[in-house]
Parts: sequence; C-alpha cells; structure tokens
Amino acid sequence: MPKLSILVVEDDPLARKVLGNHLGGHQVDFAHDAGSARQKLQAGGHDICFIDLHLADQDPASGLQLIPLAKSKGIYPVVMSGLDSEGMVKKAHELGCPDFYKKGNEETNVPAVLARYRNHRNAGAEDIFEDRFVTVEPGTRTSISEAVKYAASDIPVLILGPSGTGKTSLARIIHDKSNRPGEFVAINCSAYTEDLLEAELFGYRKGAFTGAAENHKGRLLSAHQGTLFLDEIGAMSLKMQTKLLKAIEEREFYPLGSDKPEKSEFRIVSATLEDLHYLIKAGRLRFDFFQRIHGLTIQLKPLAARKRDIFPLIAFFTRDGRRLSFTDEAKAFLSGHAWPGNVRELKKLVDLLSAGEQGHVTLDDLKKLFATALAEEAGDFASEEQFQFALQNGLTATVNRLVDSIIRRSLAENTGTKAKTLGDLRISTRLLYASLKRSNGGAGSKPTEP
Amino acid sequence: MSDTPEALESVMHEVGSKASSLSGAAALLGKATPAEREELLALMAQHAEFLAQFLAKFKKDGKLP
Repeated sequence: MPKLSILVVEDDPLARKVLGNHLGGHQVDFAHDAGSARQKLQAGGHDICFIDLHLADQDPASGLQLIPLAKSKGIYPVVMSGLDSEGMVKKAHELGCPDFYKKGNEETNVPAVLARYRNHRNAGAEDIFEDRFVTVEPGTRTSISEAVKYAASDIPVLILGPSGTGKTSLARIIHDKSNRPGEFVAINCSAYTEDLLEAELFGYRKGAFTGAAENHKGRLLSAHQGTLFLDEIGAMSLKMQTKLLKAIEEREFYPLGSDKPEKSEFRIVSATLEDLHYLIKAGRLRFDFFQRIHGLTIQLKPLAARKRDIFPLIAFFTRDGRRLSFTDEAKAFLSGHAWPGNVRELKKLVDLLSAGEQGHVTLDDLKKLFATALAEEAGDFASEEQFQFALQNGLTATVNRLVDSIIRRSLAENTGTKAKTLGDLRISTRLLYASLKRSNGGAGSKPTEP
Repeated sequence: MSDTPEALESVMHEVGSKASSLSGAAALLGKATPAEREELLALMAQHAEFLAQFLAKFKKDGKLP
C-alpha cells in the first residue's frame, strides 16, 4: 500500500496516540486545535484529514468548519466524533464530508476509512482506457469504472461475458487497483478434473495421493492477502463449491493429506461466460456459493455490441509496430463481422495483417485471411462450402446433412446392411432411423432389421 | 439537576469521547513497549480522573464543570 500523508486534528492527547498507532506505516502529522489545523491545511500536501468534531470547549461542532478548507485543497476529510448525532452527521455531509465515524472502534474504522479513500481515488479510471482496457464505448467504460471504484474494497466481483471479451484483463486491473500486498493468482476451473482442481486450489502434502511426489502450496495459500481469480467458475463441481465456500467463510482450509489447517485471506474475483442463474435453477450452482462470489457483477459486452472499439483496438495493437490502413470496403467488412471470438479474434487478425505483404488492407485481403483462419480453426474438417451452408441454413441443418451423407455412404458400402453401419459408425439405432427418415423425405419406416 | 438537551448531549459527548479513547488505548497496551505502555497508562489515568471529576460535578449541581 503506498504511504499516505495524513493530518490528524485532535485535541485529546490519548486519542491522538491511539489514532496515530492505527495509522502506522503512513506519514502522520498532528494538529491540536482548529487554528493550527487551518495553517497545516492551507499548506496542503495531505491526502487525508481526520477531524475531531469537538475541538473547542464552547463549540461542540468546531471541527466542521475545517471541512470546506480541506476539500478546497483536495484533501479527503474524515470526521470522527464521540457522539454521532444525526444532526451532526447531516451537517458534515452537507459540507461535503464523505466520511463520518463514531470513535471507539479504530481497529475496524481506520482501515475501512483508508479503503474508502483508495476507492475515492480510484474512481477516475481514465488511465485504464488508454492501455489496460481499450474502449470508447460508454457502457463498457461505465462498467469498468464501476469495477475500479470498488477495487480497493473486499467486495467479491463477478465478471460475465463471452470468451475473448477481456474478463482476465479486467480481473487483473481490479487486483492492481486494489493495492493488495499479495499476488494475483488465477485458475481456470474448466481446465481441471474435480480431483485435480481440489489439489491445485487447496494444495497437498507429499504422498497425499499417487503422484504427489512433494508438497504443493496450492492457489488459496498463494493468494493470501492478494486476489484469487476463478475463471470459468460455472465449471466447478458442487462438491468443490462446498469446500471452497467453507474456505472463503472460515479463511482456513486443510491441504490434501494434511491435518494442519492453513490460513489465507484473499479477495475473490470470478468470471464465466455461462448464465449463472440458469446454473442455479439447474442445480449445478449452489445459491449460497453464488451469494459469496458476486458482491458486484460486471457484464462485458461482445465486440459485436461495441463496434466503435474495433479501430481503437487495432490502433492499440499496432501502436508499437507496423501501422495498418484500410480501404472503405475493408472497414465496412470489419464493422459488419460478427466477431464470435471477440477481442481475441481481432488481435489474431491484426497479427496476421501485420505480418502480411503490405500495410494497406483491402477487402480481398480480409476475405482471404478469414477463410484461412477459419479453415485452420476447423482443422480443414469443415469446408468453405459447409460453412456457407451453415450460414444460410443453420448449424443443425448442416450437421444433419453431414450425418445423412456419411450414413448413406456407409450403407452403400455395406450393401444396405444396417447392422454393419451401426457398428462401423458406432451410432444408435435411433440416430440411424432419424437419418433415414430425413433422407426419405420424412416418410416414416419401421425398422425391419437392426 | 439540569437535564437540558444541550447539557445532556454535552455530557454524552464528553463521556463518549473520553471512554472511547480509554478503550482504544487499553487495546494497545498488550502490544506496546514498556515506555509506550507507561505513557499510555499515564494518559489513561488523566482521562479517568477527568471523567470522575466531570461526572461528580454534573451529578452534584447539574452544571458542566
């Protein structure tokens, strides 16, 4: 956490001592009365000012008069009082003081005040849009700013959005803006079986299971005082959700094969492209677990819904390398493309264009690249003809046509013996007869032989 | 005994402030060095003495000292 410059305006020497102790690690300056406080505020240079409400014998609200001066110097004012009457709180807020707490619980209040100050400072996320999350789309900017505003708190964040929209980038931004001293630890829950996920998250002792050749720390412990990013959280099993929920609530867990508990305090950021409400209804996501992972929910839009970002993103991707220019037809093509792979797909295209023969990109250049890229992705399995058929008739019709074609060929090669076709293609009787029904133009036929 | 709202509010504030300082300081005693502990205890004693006198006077004649 960066060191803050803090002014404490407090006439009670014992209270000064207590508060000074709780502000250890920061540069703390003291003022004993309103007069000396005014001089120090005028000089400026402080980040935060803690003001005792009652500074003078006669005026029980003497501290309030310092609020406007603090604000005019860009200092974050915090009023503290032994008595938090509603009238005083209202007066302080009316003067523009964002923070008022009742004295007596500094151990909780002081860190909370510092966190609120960091949130206040982080509220402007303009620097992020330059190079961390490039977007000019107002809705996306609002979402990102909202996430940054709460970065310094412990509120769990749930990031929703299709693949390639920047969920991991946003998670990292939230961690960086949180000023948490620990690490950013990420894990993709869909990349592991249940047993392996458990081992990765909780760690294990040597010999805990076959293959545990040495002790392994585990991601929960690695994320201590940092951020644990759970990507594809919808893929987590119910058993794992239960175990992780317990670790989150108790801040304690047992690595596999260990009878000694480990403690870890981490902030949860999770992400998924799935509809979590659907998963809850389907019984695949525990409601109490869902409650624990989503204090703030951020929805990232697909690139097709923020097409204004396409060319700023291209400019960003090429800013340190070869610059590209586009014909009007090429620009229209890019703007009209569906971008199923979102920003990740755009980045891949830009990399291909940057490595191309010339920097001035035409429509033909793009069409060739898109055809090549898709053929590569499909592993040459889906031909251009099949892809175009799918675009016109839908994927289901395309799959059915492929299935019917293969089954017809198999039957022809097996001289019509359905049993052999069933065995060769490893398909069910139901699938075979559904295909025959389609091929016969929908005429039903009761199977007379297997 | 005077029980005007202003007087009572003042008493509540004074007692509340001093008491919160006392409890905050007490929480620090365990982690303090001997020298710091001595300083804290001295300040705490002054606060306790002030509170005792304050409340005694208020009880006696209903006026703030």
